[in-house]
Amino acid sequence: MNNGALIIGSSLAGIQAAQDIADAGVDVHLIESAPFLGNAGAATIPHHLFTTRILELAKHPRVSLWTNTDLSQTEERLGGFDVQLRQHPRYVDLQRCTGCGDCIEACPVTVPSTGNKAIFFPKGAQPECAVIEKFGKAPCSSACPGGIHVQGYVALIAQGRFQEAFDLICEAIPFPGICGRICTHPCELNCRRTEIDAAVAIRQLKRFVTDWIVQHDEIHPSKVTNPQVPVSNGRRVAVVGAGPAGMTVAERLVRLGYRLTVFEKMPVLAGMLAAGIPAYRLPREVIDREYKRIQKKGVNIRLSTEIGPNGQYTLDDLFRMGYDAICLAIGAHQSLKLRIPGENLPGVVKGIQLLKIINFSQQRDDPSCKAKLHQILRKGSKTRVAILGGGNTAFDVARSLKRLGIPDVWIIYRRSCTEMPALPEELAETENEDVPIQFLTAPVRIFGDRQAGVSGLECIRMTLGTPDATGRRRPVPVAGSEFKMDVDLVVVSIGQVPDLGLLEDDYGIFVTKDRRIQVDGSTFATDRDGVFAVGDAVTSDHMSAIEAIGMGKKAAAAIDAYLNGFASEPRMSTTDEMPVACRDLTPDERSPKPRISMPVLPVSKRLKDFAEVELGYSETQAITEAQRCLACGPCGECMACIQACKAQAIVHEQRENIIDLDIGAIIVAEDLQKYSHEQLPEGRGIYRVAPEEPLRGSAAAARVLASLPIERPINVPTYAVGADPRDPARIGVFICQCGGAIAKVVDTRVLTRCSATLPGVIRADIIDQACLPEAAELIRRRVTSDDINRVMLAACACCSLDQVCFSCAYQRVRCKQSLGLFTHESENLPNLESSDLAENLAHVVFEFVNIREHCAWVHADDPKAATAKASALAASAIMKLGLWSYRPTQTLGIERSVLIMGGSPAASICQRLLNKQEVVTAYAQRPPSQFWRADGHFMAADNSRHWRAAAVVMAPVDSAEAERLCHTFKIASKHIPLRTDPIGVETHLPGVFFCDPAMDSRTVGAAAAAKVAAWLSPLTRRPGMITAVADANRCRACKTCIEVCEYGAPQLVGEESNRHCWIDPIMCAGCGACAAHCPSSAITAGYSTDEQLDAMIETALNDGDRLNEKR
Amino acid sequence: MSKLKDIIDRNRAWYCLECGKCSAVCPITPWETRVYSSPRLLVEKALNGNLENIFDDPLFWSCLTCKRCSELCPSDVFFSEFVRDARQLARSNGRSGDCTHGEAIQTWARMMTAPDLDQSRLEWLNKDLKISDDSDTLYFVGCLPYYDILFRSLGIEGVEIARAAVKILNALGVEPHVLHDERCCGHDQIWEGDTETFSALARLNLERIKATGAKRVVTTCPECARTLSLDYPKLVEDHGLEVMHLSRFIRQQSPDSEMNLSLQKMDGTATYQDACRLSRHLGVYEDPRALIIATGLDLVEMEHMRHASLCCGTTGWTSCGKVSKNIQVERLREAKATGADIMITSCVKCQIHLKCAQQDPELGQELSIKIRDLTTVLADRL
Repeated sequence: MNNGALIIGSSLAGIQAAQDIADAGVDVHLIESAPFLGNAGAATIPHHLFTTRILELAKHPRVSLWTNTDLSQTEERLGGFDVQLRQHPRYVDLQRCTGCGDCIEACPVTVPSTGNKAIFFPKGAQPECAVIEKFGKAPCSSACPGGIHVQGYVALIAQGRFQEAFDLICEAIPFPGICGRICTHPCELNCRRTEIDAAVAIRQLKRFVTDWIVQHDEIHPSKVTNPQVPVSNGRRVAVVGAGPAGMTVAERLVRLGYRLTVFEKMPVLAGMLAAGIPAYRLPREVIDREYKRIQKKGVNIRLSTEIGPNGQYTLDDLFRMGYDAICLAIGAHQSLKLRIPGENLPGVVKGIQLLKIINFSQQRDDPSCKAKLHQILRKGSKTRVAILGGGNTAFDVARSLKRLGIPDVWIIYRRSCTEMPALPEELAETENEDVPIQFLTAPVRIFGDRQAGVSGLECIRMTLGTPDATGRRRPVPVAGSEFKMDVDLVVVSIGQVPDLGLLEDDYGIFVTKDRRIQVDGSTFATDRDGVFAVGDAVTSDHMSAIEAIGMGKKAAAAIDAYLNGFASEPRMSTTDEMPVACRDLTPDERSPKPRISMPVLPVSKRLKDFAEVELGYSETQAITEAQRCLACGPCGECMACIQACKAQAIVHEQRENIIDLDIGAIIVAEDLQKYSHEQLPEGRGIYRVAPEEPLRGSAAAARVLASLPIERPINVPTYAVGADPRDPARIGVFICQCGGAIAKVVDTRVLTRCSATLPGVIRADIIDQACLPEAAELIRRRVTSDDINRVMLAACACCSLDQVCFSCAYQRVRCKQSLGLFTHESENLPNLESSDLAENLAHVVFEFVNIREHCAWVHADDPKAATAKASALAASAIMKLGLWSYRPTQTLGIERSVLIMGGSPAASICQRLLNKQEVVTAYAQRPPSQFWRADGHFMAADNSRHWRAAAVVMAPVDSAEAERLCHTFKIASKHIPLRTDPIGVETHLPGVFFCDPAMDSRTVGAAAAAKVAAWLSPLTRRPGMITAVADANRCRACKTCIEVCEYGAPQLVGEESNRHCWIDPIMCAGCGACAAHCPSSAITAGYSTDEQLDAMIETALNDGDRLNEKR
Repeated sequence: MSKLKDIIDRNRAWYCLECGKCSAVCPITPWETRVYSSPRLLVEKALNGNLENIFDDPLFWSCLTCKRCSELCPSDVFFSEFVRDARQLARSNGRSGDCTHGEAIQTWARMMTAPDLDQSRLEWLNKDLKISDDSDTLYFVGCLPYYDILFRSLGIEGVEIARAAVKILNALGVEPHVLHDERCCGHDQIWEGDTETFSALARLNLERIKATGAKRVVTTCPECARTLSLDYPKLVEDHGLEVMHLSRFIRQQSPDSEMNLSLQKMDGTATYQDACRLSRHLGVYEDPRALIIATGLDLVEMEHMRHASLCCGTTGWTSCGKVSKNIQVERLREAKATGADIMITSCVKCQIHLKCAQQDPELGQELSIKIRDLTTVLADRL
């Protein structure tokens, strides 16, 4: 085959060129940078006509349509170009989208600049398939280490869709309630609202939905809160440590079917979450609830079970017990030391230890903890406490001590508040609770003695120097600024490292100098096979809960890959790799909307106990706050569309696609400024046309055709097809539910039962969506297995011919295309000869019935009537199929020849371009005196000359000559005046083309050449489908048909008493006017015989009774 | 339903001598070019007993039942009746002829079987035409108003014939009954084997005719005359009514050639087309001829005339095509050959079929002759 042509731009000129070139038998690639076809010039023709043109292209066997596609580079080579196309993701599969609009309804995001949803298609746009507007990942979503589709759940909350929001969060992380309280919310830090006023209160929104679920779960039990325990895959994984990292690993793996046991050294769930975070920040019931939810999924948690040389089991034991992998998530529970004098005095405690004691004495009512606490706070409420450090632990200690009734608590931090790792809101609340904070102050030594304990603390003021390795500015002591504080208790809370006790023996696990477990950065594997590590144990104390969760997810995927023998890539969502979306904000969006402040417990009330300080949003507050979101994506990946799409057409993971093509010629039918010289050089083989002028498109098509090597099939093939359809009818009935668009009105089961009993019906099946590839596959299978030779498909397609009309739709065309209806029969033949004959649908006769628009939609309010009508239509079509009879079609060898007439320069241009395509051309300057059709050709004769041609071009120099030439045709087609199409080249007579003298002769001559080339290709003619056939014996030679035919198709042939009508299949347009007018009913219309029409009408009228029987 | 054997017995097919006289005169035989077919051969096929062989014979469906063959048959085989009865059998086997005009006319007949069908049947009556609800005589209009619609473009006389008939009856001092809810007589149905529709139509017609109290039925259509007088009594009910074609009625009313009608004399020559139903079926040959002569026209006969006359080429709106056309062309050429100014027929169907053939654009002048119904020719002279 030749290399084909590339058309850039689905403008009117572009689609015209594509059609002409493809009709001539050359492969065409049409690219359009927008998601929908039809840019320039589309408005100059009526919309419905434009639609049919697009659909004609969509169904054309020689055309590939590329939407969302740009030309990225072009390299010239001998005889053509190597081009590279860049197809941008649509995020919707064009082979699957049914255009039902369910996704649009489900989408919570309205794009401010356009008013469209983030997933949308403009009404009437082609292809009628949705597109997702996604510039990238929203900044909040990309910032989230846990991989939550942040913007998505905010958008859902903004619509009051709390359950969906909750489910979306739970899909990503197991601890929505916990994160909703203690998350360090990198999302908010990256929120683009910070450019305007303040970030959306994302953490609070997350908290809100989890609280809402608790209140509503009994009413709406969700699949997240009531999970199904997945089917076990038989493999077991042990996780050591029940903190956020470990539990995330467990939860992700249990979802994949592994059986999980989590071993926890402490007697409480949740590791550092429970031990290190006070209840006023994270109420214990929140922890309990979320851990129970994970347990319900099948994760077994064994508390107070230490792993290690001193514990119940060693790692070796675990492997012996049958665990296939072990994940160490032991956290960092060993506090760092100050390394200053007096650090070992009684009265110096580690922050995390103190918190543990306070928390355990609170929640477990543990007497030993109470005693320890009593001992530490040896002066009771008079104890003066200095807390060293600026992390959340320091603040948690301070605020907890306040709640224990200790008034004198200071926080001492060596840098300023900007460098502090604790959250700003934490700092604010702590200050509200009257805890003084000494910034830029470092401890120098602790005073006291072994008996009395601590008595004081010497500190020094600091100043900030150059940034250190963490990026924070290094504190430098200010000489001579030392001062002393009187304190009874010093709490050291400057960070922790993992407690690697369990690794004391040589387990083959490498521990770094800074006391971390060394793992591979991507596989999380330690040096020991089957042992993985995750969380603070790997990073030391640098992780927030959400980071631990994020790491847990990656580790789980890595463990899964390991246990699958690395057979698969880790199962991770690839949407994580998307760039961050950063779109321009509209002036409207830039107007401030203040953040809804979080209601808190008044300080006077909160210090009495450990009651939660933040009270949470109300529904209205949450919705209002969520509505502040700017929809940066604009798609927020809330996945509501995936839930809504019954056709599974949505592919959020779609990526840019690079396509390399070998191209013979290029037509640029759009704005030239769009492409740089590198993308699109100047030169031979590249044709540029004005986008809105279809005539120029045709002209360019002719030049392309003339420039390409001739390797096209040039003869009309014989039309013999595989299996013999003259066998008795074996009808397969397929009823489409259209997702639900049909089934919710039309009772498809009744329809199936009704159809199944009709004569000739072998089977009747319900299919879900006829326009999806698997439906075609199912039909193919049934045809093969049940030896079906006729198929009735009741769906939304109505035309049983291979035509498209203005009410057609992309999906209908796609449906027929996947059933092979538009594949040219000559192309089908090789397949028929192949071994898999039965796979081919070429021998199957199809009949389509539209039960969607014609039944389910127009009778939406009356399901009974809709079903009755659907049944009647289906029964009619089945009866029609039953009476289908094989009609042998004529094979006419058509020459590649053309007769060109007229004195315009267009004639010679047309002739030259056609000669290059090896078309035999003849030129007659004067109109021939005689003109007629015979044997599938135009015949003309003059006194001395005689012509025979498959096509005729008239190229008059002026209107007077035009009239003379047209008059020639009146001989051939009696009284009918020649009409031309809106472009002005094609006439109503097939094979006759007209170069309007009023138009530019170069363009119109070339355009006519393109039309002739297309006309001479077998692709444009499929005799038999619609051609009327005359019965010679029933013909009375009355010429009525000749009178009524607009196309000059009927001719009288034969002599004297044997004169009868013959219908030229090439000229016949299939309108059926002749059949309707023939007094002796000698003519049968192509689409249906009288017998079939009778049976259809009778069946439809009598169907009601049958239907009632089957109801 | 009769078996084939009964049909053969009843119609004396056993007596066929295979002499071939029928084949020599059958109007179809010379024109049917697909396969050789003739009445004799069809009878032979019937005697061999294979139904499909009979039904597949083109003649079986295109037979005009014109009785031309019966005129010559030495054994008195009822060939037309045999075809009629066998078509009933064929219909019960799911076979039927090819209907013309998209089966519109057959459909009308079927629609007319509805007992309470509302037809505007009397729109054609002018105010100077007198009808009466109290008369011994009923004028049976037949399908004229329907054909008027379908074949107007051929330039046929449709309701003009009905008007002429009432005008003549009035001139004879008769104010006839005309039914406002008359049905098709069922002629085509019975000859195409559709007895069910025929019976329904016949019952409805008889019911209505009897309700008028009329003793006599006059028709302008030979088919109606044949069906009401021969087929109704035999197949539906012995109604005891006197049924006749208008030409015979006129002659009965005024046996002498002057008649009670005072006809204006006219010049010119006319030829007469014997309608098969009126002539060979009912034996009416002289009455129309006498009436033509009474108008003063010179009557010239065609090559085939009276008992040997050539049919108009189609019956029952079925199996029309090349064969029919050729018969019609042949007949029109015979008419032209007489040199007559006008061809007069007594049957509207003859007029329709022959006028249709005259539409042939190629044969043009060769077939052009004025064709009129006897009734309208007479009425014009009143």
